[in-house]
Amino acid sequence: MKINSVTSERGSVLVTALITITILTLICATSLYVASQNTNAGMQAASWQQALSGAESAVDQAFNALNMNASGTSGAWTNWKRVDSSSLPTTKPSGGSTAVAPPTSNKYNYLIPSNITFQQGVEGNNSVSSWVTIDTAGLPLDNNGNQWYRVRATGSAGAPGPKRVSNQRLDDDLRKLSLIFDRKAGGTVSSPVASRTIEVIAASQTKNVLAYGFVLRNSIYMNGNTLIDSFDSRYSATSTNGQYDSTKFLSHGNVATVNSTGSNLNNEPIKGSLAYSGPVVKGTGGVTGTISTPFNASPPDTSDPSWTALPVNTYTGAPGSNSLIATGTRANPTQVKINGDFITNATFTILGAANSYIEIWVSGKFQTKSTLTQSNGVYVKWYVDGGSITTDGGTYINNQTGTATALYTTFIGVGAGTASIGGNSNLIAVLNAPGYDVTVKGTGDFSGSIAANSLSMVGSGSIHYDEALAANGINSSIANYSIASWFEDNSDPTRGQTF
Amino acid sequence: MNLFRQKARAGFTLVELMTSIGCGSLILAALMAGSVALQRSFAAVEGYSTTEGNQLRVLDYIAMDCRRALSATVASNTLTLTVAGYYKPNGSAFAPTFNSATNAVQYNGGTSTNYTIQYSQSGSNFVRTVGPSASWPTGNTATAIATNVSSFTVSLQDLTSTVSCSITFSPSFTNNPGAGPIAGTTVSSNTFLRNAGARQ
Repeated sequence: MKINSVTSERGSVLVTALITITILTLICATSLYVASQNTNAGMQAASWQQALSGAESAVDQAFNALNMNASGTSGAWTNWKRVDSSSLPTTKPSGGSTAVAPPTSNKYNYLIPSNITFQQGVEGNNSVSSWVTIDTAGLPLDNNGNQWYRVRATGSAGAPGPKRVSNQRLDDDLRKLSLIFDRKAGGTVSSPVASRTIEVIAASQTKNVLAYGFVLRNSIYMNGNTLIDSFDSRYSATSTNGQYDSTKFLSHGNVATVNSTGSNLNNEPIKGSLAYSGPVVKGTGGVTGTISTPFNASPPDTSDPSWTALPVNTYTGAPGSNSLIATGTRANPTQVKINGDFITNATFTILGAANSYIEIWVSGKFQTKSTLTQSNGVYVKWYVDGGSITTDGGTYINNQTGTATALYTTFIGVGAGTASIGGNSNLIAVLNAPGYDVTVKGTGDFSGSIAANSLSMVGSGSIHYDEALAANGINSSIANYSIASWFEDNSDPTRGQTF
Repeated sequence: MNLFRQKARAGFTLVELMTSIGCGSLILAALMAGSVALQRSFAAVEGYSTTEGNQLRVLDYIAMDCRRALSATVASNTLTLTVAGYYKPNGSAFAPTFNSATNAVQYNGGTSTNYTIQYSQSGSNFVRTVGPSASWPTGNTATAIATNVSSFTVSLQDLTSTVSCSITFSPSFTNNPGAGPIAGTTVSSNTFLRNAGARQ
């Protein structure tokens, strides 16, 4: 008899243990996978940000070059290359010649800055590369006659991790990484990369030396029966045929000096404000506007023209024909070089059709001893190197009408010198001669604007600032460049996708 | 006759059995505790990752759209941005053109066609609506670019040239060992409208 006979002794411990281990392994694997995806998404987001930083820094390099070039600082285009092509590259450019100036049409300059590197040995991407191009984009000159530029910069940062899209579809919609396919240039990429391109339009910002009426580097002196006031040639209520009318004067004949040492207004009337730096200006009882200090905006230096594109008509002294003909345009004015002094001993005429432009570069002195007349509608710009501009020995006739009539006659005094304006005639002009000591005397009137080293008014002369000049940038120079437009180019034409 | 004669069997004594059960219980308890802790940690990390992803995405979208916007308006706590039509229907970008009448640059091929992008809160979603346009970018579409949003405030600064946004997310991981409720996470941004100022 067999009682309690047990023949089966199999247990379930091993099976239970295996199942438990399997479940735990699956849980761990899932956790690791999700954590890996999250890490991957975080890495890609970080790379996406880094790429934009790279692109922005490249844009900064471009603006730095443009601004240095505008200010005449040497080395503006160091390490830049120029390529003669109207098609901008979609990949990092190469080749080309050394760039020495901003690009003209159908050309572009490019720079490949040094990579931005982070601490080595850390997790994630540790280097960002970039490249930037500058071209005109076919844009015409702006209303001030200056060129705007298109700046396109691309920043690229490696996207560490596997070639795997983010686990969040919304991230994929926003951040278009090149994991396998190069979405900008086509083809494939060897490793995942975040690449972002931004396009910025650099607009020239001008500094208008005519915005303040009469701006000086040093003293102002008034004595006699003088007057400073203003008018506005744009409106009939403030001018007559665009010219000064004493019955319609305005009170914005503002005067400013960077160094007021020796200044004395002798209570002569200034219908406008006075701004100065330095010692207190004497005799300000005639100033109708505000008196403020300091004033530090010194008028910038002037320079000779840099003619390269067009032929230059050269004369020694004033042309024997006693005339010059303006046939140029604003962008390409007629260019005349006078070697020596330009002195008109007989009636001299500058002819031309309306809206024609001429630039006359006088290496010596400028002096009118008789009548100098320029035809209506002709824009004349004088560059005087000889340190002397004298118009009080004769008559300079500028009978233009309309807005900013002073702009029809512009004197650029280069270097140091003296200018004597007045006599018994009226002169309508812009005098931009920051190194010149200007004297206004006699009974004549001067209408326009003056930037000079010093101003001395004696006798019964008057000067009248045309407020229309402040709104017109034709006589201004480029101060710097600012961002006129910014956008991130997310276009993907290779695959026909729209953003 | 031996009624209780059995084969020789190996076995556990009661003490051994009790000891093994006790040890096993301790091991299982430790495993359970570890598993629960692991799950909580995982949930916390997952919640953190999700929230951080939402925050980064929202900030990236707003920054990108504000920077290229021509103008911005705010009404009923909805931000409306006007942007130029930068892209052609085939996906390529327009080249810039110059408008001499306004001394400004244009990007929409001179067609003066602009588009709007709106940001608003809808329930717990943060919605980006693009349009209206049949061809660009993808029609009048509304996409929830973030979830778990508890509040959204937006205002304009500096004469409408800067957009200030503040988005608060509800806490996604609610196990709080300390006292008091878990606060939501708030992200803020101040973005300058680089294209504002009648550049177009």
